[in-house]
Amino acid sequence: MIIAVIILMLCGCWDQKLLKNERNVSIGGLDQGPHGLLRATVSLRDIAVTEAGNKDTSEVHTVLARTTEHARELVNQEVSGGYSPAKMRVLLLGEPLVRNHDVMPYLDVYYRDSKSPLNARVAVTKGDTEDLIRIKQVGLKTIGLYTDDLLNSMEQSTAVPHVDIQTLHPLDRGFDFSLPYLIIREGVPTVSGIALFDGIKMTETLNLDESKLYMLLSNMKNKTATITKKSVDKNRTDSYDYVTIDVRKLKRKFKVTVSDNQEIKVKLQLKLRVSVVEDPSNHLYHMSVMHKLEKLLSEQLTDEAKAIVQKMQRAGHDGFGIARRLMAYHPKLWKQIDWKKEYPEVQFDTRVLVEIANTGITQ
Amino acid sequence: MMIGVKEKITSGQLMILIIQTQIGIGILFLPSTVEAVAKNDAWISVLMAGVASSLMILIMWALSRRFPSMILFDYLPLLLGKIAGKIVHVIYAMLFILECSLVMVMFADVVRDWVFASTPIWVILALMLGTSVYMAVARIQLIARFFVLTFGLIFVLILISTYAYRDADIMYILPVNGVGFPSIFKGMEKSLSSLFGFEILLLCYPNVIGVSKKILKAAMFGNIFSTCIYSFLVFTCLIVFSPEELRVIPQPVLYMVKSLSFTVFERADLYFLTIWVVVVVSTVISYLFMSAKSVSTLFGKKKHAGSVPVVALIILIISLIPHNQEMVNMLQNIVAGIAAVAIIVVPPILLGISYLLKIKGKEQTKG
Repeated sequence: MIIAVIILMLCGCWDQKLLKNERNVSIGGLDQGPHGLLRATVSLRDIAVTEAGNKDTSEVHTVLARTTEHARELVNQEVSGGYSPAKMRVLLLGEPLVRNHDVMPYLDVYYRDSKSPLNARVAVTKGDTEDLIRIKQVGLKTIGLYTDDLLNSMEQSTAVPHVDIQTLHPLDRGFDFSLPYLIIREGVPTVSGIALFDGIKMTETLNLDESKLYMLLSNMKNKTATITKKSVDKNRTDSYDYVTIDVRKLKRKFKVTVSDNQEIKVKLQLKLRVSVVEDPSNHLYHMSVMHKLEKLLSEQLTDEAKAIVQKMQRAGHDGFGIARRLMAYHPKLWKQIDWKKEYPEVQFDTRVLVEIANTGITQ
Repeated sequence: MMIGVKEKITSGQLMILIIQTQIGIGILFLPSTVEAVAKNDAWISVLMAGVASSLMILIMWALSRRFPSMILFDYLPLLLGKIAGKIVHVIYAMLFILECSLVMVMFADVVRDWVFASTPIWVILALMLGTSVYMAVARIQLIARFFVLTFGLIFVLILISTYAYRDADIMYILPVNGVGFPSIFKGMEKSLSSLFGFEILLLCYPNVIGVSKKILKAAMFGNIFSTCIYSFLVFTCLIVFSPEELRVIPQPVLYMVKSLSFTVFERADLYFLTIWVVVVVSTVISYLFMSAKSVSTLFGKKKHAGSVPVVALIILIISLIPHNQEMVNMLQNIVAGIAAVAIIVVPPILLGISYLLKIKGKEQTKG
């Protein structure tokens, strides 16, 4: 009886983890180290409570380890208090690492440990992640929080895809993933586009303009998506000659067909209903001008879309999930072909159609 | 043997009794175990298992109907004779005890892996069994009422997992019937064990108020409900995870929920587990009740309450034995073997004997 009561009272004592004893990681980065080792950098977040209010500070540690779990142990030896990755918001991967190495082994512990943060965002940095994490603080925000907010706002404006550790688990989903690509500009982390992956290896980058269109082509429009394009002539560069459109509605037709002689053809048609948010030349009150603008925008976007698709094919990046469709609808063909060889040969029929729906409160 | 008013349950309560016994530990494991054999057609397997279990319910009902005032163990000797009857009786008692132990083993595994990594297993098991004993000693009417009370929680589980449709892709289940019928059939065998629990009908048939048709209806509806929930979850996991992922994730439902992040709270898997524990408790209570009932009738006792703690102790000891996955698998195979005999083979034989030799129980006057 006494034992029963004691057990009931002690419940949870074995596994208690007090927040005050934990050192939480807000951002972590994995880099390529010498001799096949892994260089891991973490920023630990501390909140100092003073009379003036709470103040966020961060402490950066870099270790050279064999695996991610080994890195955790090493960091744990360096810092005071128990090390806990549970609150990590962003996981960064250095470009050299993802270009030359298979990163999946390093991620294993994130999938295996039940306390690991599966919803942490993942991004690639140009150069080493350590340089970015060492910035420590941008304005009032610590680097972890800053990067997380930055990625979040870029996701909202359809510039980069939302990828967290869970969605990264790329065990042959039939499509390749792409990650936000971060650079450091004037000492501040900035998103410069996306990094395209071929399987688990990074092969190519897209700049912000391209990545926006890439996102639209993959039907991943988020809250807003604005595009600024030339409005009159492709070759003129006067500030009057630009127009900014906001994509309101997106209709995507995506069809993968296989012809009789086993040729794979992809038809990708994008219909954008847009509203004009900026048009300095103010001439949209003519219907004919508007139609001309529609046509011009459609042409420009179609050309760019084609260029992006070509880039993807060259990089071996199947971001639209054509492989998935082949597996689902043409399982027999899928078993016969060597997809890595076949993908660059796939014929794309890409088209973007722009339709102006409204023009704001001025015409 | 007359059954007092206090031990009567309505047909609605019977339905929930069956549902709560069926839905339990399986909702975490089923998707990946069935996927392992039936691949992306796993959901068809589950639906087929539902059909198969309906058939078994029909047989059990037809059997129980012939002895409207007796439970299985009362008419076993009538049909099989004393010795054979006792043997079958022992088989049933073993089945219930081992099934309960298996549930406990798997439960302890999940709790250890997901929440309490360093808490000793026996503490988890003892707490769980202690709670269940408290309820299982009660009359079946009270158990049924408790189940009705906690029934709503199943919907909360469904609600939480529905959120995962955010990153679902319907193309994962295509091509339908890509693996061929034999694999689907094998998947059906696998999923059948999760649907077990309807055998409680054999033990509580005389307790249900109402005509026999109503009882059949309730049991069928219960089975259909559980089948739907199971197939829904399997279907969801299939379209959320790619086949390669399911292979390495033993509890895909939890995994799927874990990655969700809401504005206010994180780690939805812990919320899911908290509710799931109650659902598992219901299953354990049910099995404890069935084991106790079979053990007490084996020794000629009328009340099952006295044997509940004894049975619980046995279950605790059995569930502490398996130390590795291999032994768990062995336990699983043993349970599957006994279940195949006790649930699939025996009832039709009993029904056949009953029809051939025209043995029937006395009609009970229904109030």
